[in-house]
Amino acid sequence: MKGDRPVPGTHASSTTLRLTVTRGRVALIPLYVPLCIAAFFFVLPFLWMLSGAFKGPGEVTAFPPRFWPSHIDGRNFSTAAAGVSMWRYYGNSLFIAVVSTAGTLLSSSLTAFAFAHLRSRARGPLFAVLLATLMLPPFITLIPSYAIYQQLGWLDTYLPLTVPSFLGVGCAFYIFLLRQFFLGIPKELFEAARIDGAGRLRQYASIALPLAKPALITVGLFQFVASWNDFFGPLIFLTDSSKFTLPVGIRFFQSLYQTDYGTLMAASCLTVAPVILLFLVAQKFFVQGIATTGGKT
Amino acid sequence: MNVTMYWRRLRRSESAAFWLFLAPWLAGFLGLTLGPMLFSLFAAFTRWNGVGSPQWIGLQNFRVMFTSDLDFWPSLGHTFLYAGARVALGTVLALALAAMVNTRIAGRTFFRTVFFLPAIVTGVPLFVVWSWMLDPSGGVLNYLLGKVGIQGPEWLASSTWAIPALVLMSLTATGGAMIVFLAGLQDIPLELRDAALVDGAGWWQRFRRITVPLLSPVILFNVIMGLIGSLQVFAEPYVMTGGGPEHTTYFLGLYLYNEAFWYSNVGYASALAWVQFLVVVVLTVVVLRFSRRHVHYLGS
Amino acid sequence: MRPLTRRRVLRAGAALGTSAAIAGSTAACGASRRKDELVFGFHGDTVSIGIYRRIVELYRRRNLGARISYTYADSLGFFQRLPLMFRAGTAPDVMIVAESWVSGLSQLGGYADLSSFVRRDGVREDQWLPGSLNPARIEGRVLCLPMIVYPKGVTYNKTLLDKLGIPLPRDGWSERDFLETAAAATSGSGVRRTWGMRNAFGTNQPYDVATVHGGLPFDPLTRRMTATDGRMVSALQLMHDLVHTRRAMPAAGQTQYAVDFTSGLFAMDLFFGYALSYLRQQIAERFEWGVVPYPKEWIGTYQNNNVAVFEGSKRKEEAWHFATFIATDPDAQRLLEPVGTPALRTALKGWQQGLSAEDRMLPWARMIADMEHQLVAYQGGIFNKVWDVLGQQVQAVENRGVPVRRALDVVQERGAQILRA
Repeated sequence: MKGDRPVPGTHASSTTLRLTVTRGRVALIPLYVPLCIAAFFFVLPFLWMLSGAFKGPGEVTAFPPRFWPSHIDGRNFSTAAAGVSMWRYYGNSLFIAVVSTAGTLLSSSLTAFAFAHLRSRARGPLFAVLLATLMLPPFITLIPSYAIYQQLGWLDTYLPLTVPSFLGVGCAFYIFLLRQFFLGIPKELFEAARIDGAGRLRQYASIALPLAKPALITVGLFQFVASWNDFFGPLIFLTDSSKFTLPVGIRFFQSLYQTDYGTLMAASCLTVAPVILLFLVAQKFFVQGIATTGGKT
Repeated sequence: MNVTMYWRRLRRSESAAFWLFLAPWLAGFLGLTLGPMLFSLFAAFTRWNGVGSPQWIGLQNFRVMFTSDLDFWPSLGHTFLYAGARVALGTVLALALAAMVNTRIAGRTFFRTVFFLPAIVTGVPLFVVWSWMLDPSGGVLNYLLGKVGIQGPEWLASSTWAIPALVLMSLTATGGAMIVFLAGLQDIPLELRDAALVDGAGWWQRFRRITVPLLSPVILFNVIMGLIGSLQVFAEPYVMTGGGPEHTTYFLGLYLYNEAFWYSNVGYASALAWVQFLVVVVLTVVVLRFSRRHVHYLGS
Repeated sequence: MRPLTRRRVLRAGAALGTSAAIAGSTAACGASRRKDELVFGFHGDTVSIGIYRRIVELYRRRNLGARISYTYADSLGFFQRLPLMFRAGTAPDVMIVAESWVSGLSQLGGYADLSSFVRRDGVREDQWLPGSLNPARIEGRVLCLPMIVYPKGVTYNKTLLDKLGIPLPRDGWSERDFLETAAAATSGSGVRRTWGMRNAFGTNQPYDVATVHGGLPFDPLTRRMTATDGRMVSALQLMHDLVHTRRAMPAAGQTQYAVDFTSGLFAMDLFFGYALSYLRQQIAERFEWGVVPYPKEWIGTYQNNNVAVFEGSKRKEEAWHFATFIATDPDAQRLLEPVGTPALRTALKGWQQGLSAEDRMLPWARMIADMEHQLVAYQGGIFNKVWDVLGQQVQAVENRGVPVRRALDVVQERGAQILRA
């Protein structure tokens, strides 16, 4: 299998194009129907979120449901932004996401490189252990790790949300992904470097990492989004409200007894917008990274 | 052999490098994963409310779980049902979407973006919007169904339609699997495809005989990742149904959360968590075993 | 190998930078709660949070030199964290807790017993509205002080009832009047149907079902199940009638998220004191509505908000002082007005005058008087599981028409099994 893998970063050529173009694009038109129907349902929740965010208080729960608000009411956004230090929560979320992404990239690449190219008798069993952690339910470690953090005095700080990523906790999937990628790098490159006198660290830093850029960007993006969306971690470990992140801050709009849908939707839009923007800007990397790693198992 | 030579040997030794590179992960694993795992394994054999000191009761938690707990087996069954439906339908949908997007259709980047988006932008706000859309009387879904002349079911309010509702929602999150399939599709050697075209095979034939077998490793990957994720699902039922109606969406993840945080039954919850872990491991192994016969790796 | 060196430097710099960032975050975060201050923990939406902060400022002005800081979260998050904080010893010294959280977490030993303080300072129960201390009394202890209370009633859609020509509910009405009104107001079919009554009795958490006739599924003191008690049977039978016989109420499964009373599709709904501003805001001018007290046969669930002291607090005396300030000082109670009805009798009149003209017209006197007899739905550890079992059977009765007696027999049996364990 390894021999068949093209050098990472390239795609299949477009020989197919020549053959199918002669069949004409007309044959593809019936595809639009299922594609558009599917696309509609995939996008519907976001459209609804947007529509709800702009509705005035009386309209959100009006019946029958109407898509267009009778008049665009931006009040929800100002309430949402002003009510609970939205901008501070943005900053907190950003900080935690960036730091945990950096940590993930560091620890995952180191570990993946070891599993891919460094030999040891323990490698096989340890890799199996790594795969086993993929299947670990998060609750198994939740309460005991809370106790550990309490002993360390890390509660109500950002440490439980950032340090574990530097130690590869929860990165099993990324390590797996990067290992697949590293395995695709021809051994000859490392051999050449070794002959030149480069140590392992140098081989890792100057050969493996640069070649793995698409995969690293993918891992980074996924981890960023996962950290941005994480609500359980900050909920459990943070008590000072000034440290809250966006997913926790959004819950202020869902009181114990009833939900103010207008402001909740506005706040949701604000939370979700950066991720959508990031995705739109970087989706090329998302796709490219997965294309060169996930497809090969 | 003097110390310098030994040191140089060590530096060049691959084994030493291996352990050095692995050190951070090992530290994290031992301290923050294995340690807590062992503690929760211990807790599974105790009665403990999370505040005082645990009280050893041996196998009693497991005995209760398997014989007298009227929630356990139904919860397990419902979790399997949900996971099975979600993985089966999700994989098929992801493959279908990938195949459609992989053609030379105009606007394929747009479709790819749209299909991938909900998988990334997931979380509690999205679940809230979905439960709002699924509202039996005021929700958009039933409203649209009504326009087409169908009387929509009660979705999350009905014991028969709650799980299908959750599965339906999860189908919009198959973007990740779709991208993986897309990558796999683009890797299929063109010679095979062209040869089939020349032979006059129709697209369905090509799909069945060439594409699917060649994609089988990717299918396996997606199925396993999907199983692991859906057997542990928690946030969706927690936010959208609270486990109801009549506990039909009381999946294992929600069940053990309730036991730990709502009933202060941390010992029992730990036992449940370990059972969940074992279920996931066993199912994964079963799927892998099954795949040996059906998955074709290129070059073999 | 110059490229290597540069890259190495860059990476080393990045590593240093991130470790500096972590160190910085630790420093910034560690200093949030100093050990020598009283910590006040509260929760709610943005309005309530602003109000609690003002209470702290008032307290600081009154007690110069008082060292007090606060921490807050959304209500659900606050509640979810409490058991963990009890265990870790990091709970706030003074906490705002809903009535269900008192009994619910009493077993964890997180709330300090205030009886000795109450006796020592001669705190009188009659300074508060009747029934205010009911949630606080657990097994002979006093675990909190009342702060604000939530009167209960029935809200009705005047516009809809007038349109259908149905007489409006009035104070002193009977359950029979209620049933007839509900049945008459149900009309139409399919998606445009109007209902007589919204199902606000609780599905996953059926507290209002159990207590509507004054029954409870168990006795928390003796740990005996009482699910087949006559009052439980008649309560569930009422639900059954509403859903199946009169078809005036949607079944339990249909917990409305967005389509509630404010949509205008329901002639009646249960009224909770804390929903007042929500109703005003969401309904706006779309239809006219009013509130009546419960039908005379109904009892209902007691709900309020309290202030409690953490058992593990190192400064219980100061905490007690601050707690009594919130619960008994008229100025503090006045600040709480936008959040709910003050528990302190002397603050009641001021609160009523502070209401808007329409809100003042609601039958507060009767609803407040009714609170004295309302039952506290005891929750706590394993009792939550019994409520969960009851909820499942309520859903079975309402969704599938399971006979009431059979459903309650199941609750009785399973509940006994749970409580025995």
